[in-house]
Amino acid sequence: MTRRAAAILLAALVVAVGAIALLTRPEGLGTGRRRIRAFLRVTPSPVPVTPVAAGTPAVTAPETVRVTVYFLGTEDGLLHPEQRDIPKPSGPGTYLKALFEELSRGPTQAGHAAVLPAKMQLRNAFLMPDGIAVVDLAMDSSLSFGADEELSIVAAVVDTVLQNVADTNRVRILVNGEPAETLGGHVDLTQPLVYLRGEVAQ
Amino acid sequence: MSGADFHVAESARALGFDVSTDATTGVLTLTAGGHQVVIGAGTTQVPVDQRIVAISRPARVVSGALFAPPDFLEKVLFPLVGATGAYDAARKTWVLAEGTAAITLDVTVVHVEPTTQIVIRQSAAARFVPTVTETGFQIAWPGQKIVSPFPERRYDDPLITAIRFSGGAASIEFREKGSTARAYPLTSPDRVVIEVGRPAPSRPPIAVPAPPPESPKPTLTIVVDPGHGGTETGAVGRGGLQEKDVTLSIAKRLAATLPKLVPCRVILTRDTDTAIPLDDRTAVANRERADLFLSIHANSSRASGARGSETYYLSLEASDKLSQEIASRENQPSVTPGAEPPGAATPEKNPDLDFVLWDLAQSAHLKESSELAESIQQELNTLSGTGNRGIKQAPFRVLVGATMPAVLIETAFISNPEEEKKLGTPAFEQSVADSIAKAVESFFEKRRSGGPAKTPSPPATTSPTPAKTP
Repeated sequence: MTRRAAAILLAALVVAVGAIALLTRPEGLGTGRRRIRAFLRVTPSPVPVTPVAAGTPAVTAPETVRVTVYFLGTEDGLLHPEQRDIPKPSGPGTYLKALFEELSRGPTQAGHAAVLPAKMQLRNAFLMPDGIAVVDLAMDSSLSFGADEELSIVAAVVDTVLQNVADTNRVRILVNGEPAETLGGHVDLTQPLVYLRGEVAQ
Repeated sequence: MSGADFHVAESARALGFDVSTDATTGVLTLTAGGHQVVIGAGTTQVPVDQRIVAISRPARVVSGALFAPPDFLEKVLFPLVGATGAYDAARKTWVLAEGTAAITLDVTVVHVEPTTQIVIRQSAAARFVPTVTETGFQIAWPGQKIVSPFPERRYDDPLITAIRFSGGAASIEFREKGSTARAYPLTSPDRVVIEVGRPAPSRPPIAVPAPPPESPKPTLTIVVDPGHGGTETGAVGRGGLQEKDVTLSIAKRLAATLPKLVPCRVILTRDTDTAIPLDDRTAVANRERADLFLSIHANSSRASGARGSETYYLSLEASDKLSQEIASRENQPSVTPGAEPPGAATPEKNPDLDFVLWDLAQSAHLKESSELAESIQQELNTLSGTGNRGIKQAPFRVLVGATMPAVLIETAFISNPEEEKKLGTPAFEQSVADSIAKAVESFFEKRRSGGPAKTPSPPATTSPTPAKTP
């Protein structure tokens, strides 16, 4: 059987599955309705159990999600993950912004250093339908980088996004709203980037 | 009519249609071979080209996907691509008669000196057979129905005059007899890439065996690129030392030292304090048909423990599925071995092609680049006495378009106060230059002695540079 025939058979199988779905689903379910894309890869973190003193109203803890953020190991120069709970975001844009904020906030563990320079801010961030997250950085023209420094900035942004945001496979970095060649003369930003495995401590 | 409703998008793609979805309305537009079908939920009236075809019941959306009754397949999709099929009630699947579904083709032609690249996009994967003809080059899809974009189109291109589709094949007509061509497949989207190169410089066909040239010692060309420059300072040390100054000083010393160890001419991408775009640096090396490209840098890191030298070569990991595409390309026989790799390309408007051209440029030399990096790192480790740092890969822009072995050398960390002090001294700068020169010498030595295996990529045999690897 040729590859072509195999491809058709595969599609035929999908047809069959679809047909079954059609037969078993209640009429009208999802008809004509656009579905909101799932963007949380992480599972909601458990609500912390807080002892409630008698007579006081129970305080409902706000819903949070657990995210993984990458920081720089001060000795090995590689990225190391830190986990933290952040308020459950309302949409992909706010989620990306919250992740960037955690990167800017810096590490809490000893032996880790912040990756982002203080002068680097987020202008905007959003998800494209094809699995590309766009991160638009505001950069002061006075910033300059060495290669390893630039590589760890790009890798921390890219890997933090891909680690936490569901159905996202690449990250496109813009600088001051425009496509840029590099941040400081090293890492190629003209193509959307995939997970930079080589920069993460194993 | 028999059979259950079917998934429109999946089935249409399997039949060779391009499928686009309107994000707000969920209406699908299916196109193949100049035909267009528009289908949405809730209607039995389906616009097909200039007419309306009625189907037995409206298409419906289930779980976000559009499903249509089987007569949509039989009345609309099958006839447009010349396919036939039958519903198998027991398996609840549509079975297409083998080989009946056609693939749709689409052609783009781009000339980037010295190569004309023809990309034939296929609506689905299909086996193709390339053949050299008397007047050009032919791609055939045996046993495969094709929907061609045009019967004939003429091109005002330096290397090709026309492309014709007939009898299930595409014929490319060369402008000059003896032009070279090779074809390879790429995926996502499925396509055949044909690279046409100029004819090899003509030599008298019947010649008296010529005596070997007088001085057989080949001369190499090495491009040394001092990183950064001008307003672009690069990394700055705490003591105020700027990367751009260190790189220029080391590069100048290297340019003076290299010819003493290796018979070569050295070209610097800059010898003053000026800013040069990254792509121009590689373009210099490509234009000069350089044998090596060495980009000199000084490193910095926010990690306080960072010290020592590092040598980088290009990583394709970050650029999409390219590595896989290269792998599949290398498994395909190329028809003529004479074609050159894409040369000093100027970025083109078509981002897809641009991507292919640039990335293929360095990917053909990755193995040699890693060997060169290995050689340089070894020498630099000896110099620093650390010996624990290896070679690394990164998606550095300055390496992407180089059509020769290319590395980026991080001589030492300007962010480390001790190393910053060293980097500012002529003695250290000279010893770094000496180490790199020594490494280049041993790299060529190994190549000459047959050393490591040659890169499996298509060889650049028509390159007039005499000093290509033996």
